Amino acid sequence: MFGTALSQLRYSTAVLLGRRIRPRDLDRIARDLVATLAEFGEPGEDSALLPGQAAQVDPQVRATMTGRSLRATARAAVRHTPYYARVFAELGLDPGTLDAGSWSRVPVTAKKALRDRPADFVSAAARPALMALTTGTSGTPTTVWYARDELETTVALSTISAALGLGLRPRHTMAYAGCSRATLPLLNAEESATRVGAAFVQFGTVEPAIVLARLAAPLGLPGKEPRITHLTTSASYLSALVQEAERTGRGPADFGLESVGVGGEVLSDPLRARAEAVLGAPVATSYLMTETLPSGGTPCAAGHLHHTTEFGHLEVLDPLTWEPTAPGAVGTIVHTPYVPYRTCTLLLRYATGDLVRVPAAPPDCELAHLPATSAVLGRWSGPLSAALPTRALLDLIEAEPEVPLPARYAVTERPDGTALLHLLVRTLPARALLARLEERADAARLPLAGIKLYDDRAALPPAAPVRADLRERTFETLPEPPEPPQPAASATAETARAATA
Amino acid sequence: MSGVALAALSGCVALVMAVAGTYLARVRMPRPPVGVYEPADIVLLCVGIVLAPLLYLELPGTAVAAVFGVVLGLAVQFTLAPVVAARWPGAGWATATTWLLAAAGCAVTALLHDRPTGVRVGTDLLIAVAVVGVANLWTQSGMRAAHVAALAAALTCYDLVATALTDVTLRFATRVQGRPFAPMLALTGGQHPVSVGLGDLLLLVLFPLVAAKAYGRGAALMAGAVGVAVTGAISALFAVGALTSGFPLLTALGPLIVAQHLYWSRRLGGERTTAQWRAAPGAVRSGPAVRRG
Ligand SMILES: [Zn+2]
Repeated sequence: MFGTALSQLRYSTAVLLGRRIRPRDLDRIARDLVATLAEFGEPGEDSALLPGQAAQVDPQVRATMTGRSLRATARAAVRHTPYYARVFAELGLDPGTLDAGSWSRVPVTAKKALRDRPADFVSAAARPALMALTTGTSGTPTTVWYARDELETTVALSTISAALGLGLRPRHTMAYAGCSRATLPLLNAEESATRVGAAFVQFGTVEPAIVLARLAAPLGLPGKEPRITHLTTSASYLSALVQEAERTGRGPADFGLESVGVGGEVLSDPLRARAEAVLGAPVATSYLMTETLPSGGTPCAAGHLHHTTEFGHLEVLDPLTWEPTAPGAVGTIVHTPYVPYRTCTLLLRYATGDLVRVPAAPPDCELAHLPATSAVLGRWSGPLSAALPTRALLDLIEAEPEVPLPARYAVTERPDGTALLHLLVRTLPARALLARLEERADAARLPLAGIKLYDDRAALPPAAPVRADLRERTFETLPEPPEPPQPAASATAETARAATA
Repeated sequence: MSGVALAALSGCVALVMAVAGTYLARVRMPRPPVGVYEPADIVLLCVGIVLAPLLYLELPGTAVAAVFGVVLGLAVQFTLAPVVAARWPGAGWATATTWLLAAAGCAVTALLHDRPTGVRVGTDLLIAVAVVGVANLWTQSGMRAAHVAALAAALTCYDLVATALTDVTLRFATRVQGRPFAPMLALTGGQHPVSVGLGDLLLLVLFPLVAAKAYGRGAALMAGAVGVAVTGAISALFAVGALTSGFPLLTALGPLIVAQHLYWSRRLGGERTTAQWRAAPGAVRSGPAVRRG
């Protein structure tokens, strides 16, 4: 009791004064939360006041806090990183004079700047410990250095959010079907799940059939649900799982899933619906990125993505002019992760390239006190990517069960400025499918001049790579279909494996 | 010493226990979002209990009364708040009313400072309400039977030293006696009042509540019966003249609390968590959560 109160007091004081957060304090709060859940089954009152739980804050207080955090972050960046020291010196800008109003005087940091010279963004006051590389489906991965303290802070915050947001409990088992080289998300998922007391297994992005078989297999562990209850994966790998489950005629009864978490890629509404239908669990998305952790976005019931104000500052800007995006229009997320949550790789006004729409009217949902955008629509690569974003295309394509998943498609721009969608299907001709796609594209008012179907991937113009393409190999052969647990079950499975090997 | 008053003392202890048990069954107190009791909390509690009388002996009597008055007032307020909030949910005046009631109770008791009976009645009422509230707060915020047993064991040793071997308790009792907010439930005044100390009363009331949570109704009833029996037996010794001045009640009660805890925990294979207690069918259950206004 007293120890927790002391940790919470120290944490809040550090945040208020912009001082270094002691990872031990956050770790203590996270561990005590777990103990509280074990004793009471639920957190006490006002759990929204816990770190990262989106408490309502008086707007005036929040504005003051934002100004202070921005100044503290800018000061640290200018004092300790070569990149911002140079930028601010060239402009004659004093970080101590900045606030939310004058924040736009700080130039936007392009993704390319970080990608080209990651060391220029590392604080001289930090001790880099982990090099986190983004998946880099866009060609070159981005390097983000993390200090040990930051990792511990991030893990503690993830533990709190796993326990409160995800409702993870010791009876659960979480499977992670993401790229095994993505150290930071993997470490975060494993640490937060096991700190809650849940079990954790890393599947990697192996053959979807193997993952489905493992999800269906009984665990037979004392104190745990009979089968894996939570799955974390990317949208494209989820689409591969959905296709395999649909192909083999599996349904919710074949799995014990309670929740599927998807991150890192655009999750379309039809894919979510199909996944929920075959896997039998709600599919939830969140918005987190390596560069701006622990800041992130949480979806609300009204379909917005609400961004935490505690750990960083969100702006939605026009990707060409860097002017604020008007309500109802599409812009990109520009984010400033705050010191003292981030201490190693310091970024000011970092252009994430993630496209979102600004709500036309102020939200009146349960999270209305947090800044809202639409869900991420796609990645900015030019005006066409905003006019015809990934989400619109996936909403169109992934609603058609005849299209093989993960969807392989490309959009080309014709000389007259119109766009053409190229899509891989299983077999041609597919006239009915094409007619349906065209009709739905018209109904959705997609600026498409035409849709061209292919049954040969080699003929398809180069399609954007997806995370599911990072397929990992395994010596494992497919296990037997799941049987009800019985004493001889494991022996039978062993024999079967030996026979097929 | 009056035999009637001595018998009434056991009755009063039983009554406070019963009220506390009813409170536990009906009223849900708010608790912080995060926090469980740990050994360190019990150590801190012990240190506080040991240091408080020593500190108060150094302070002027009026200051001691003022400190006790404020502490009692706060305890009465947080005891009444969930009751009023549950009775009139969403009423903005509910919280203000509990503050008013607590302040009025303290003010009246303080104003009666030259009428010994008035001071006793006022103080006894405040103490009884505060003990019901504090025992419930600790129980409902997850204090375990093992914690209470440890606390009882530590305080038994302390009580033995403070009451039996030194004059700390006696000096302290003489100091606060008859003053408003004296930390004891006293039925008579004078040189040798019929009374039970605040710490003793708190443990008498606390253990049955925690036993109800940890081990169920049977353990709670046994704990209550043992507590009343100990109070009654000591009263009887006073009545027949076998005891004449302050007796460290905890030296008898403490070991019995530890014994009961060991017995039930062996018999049932460990104690229940708060969640298991609230989920148990037919167990003492509390109403819907009450939000602090
Ligand atoms: Zn919303």
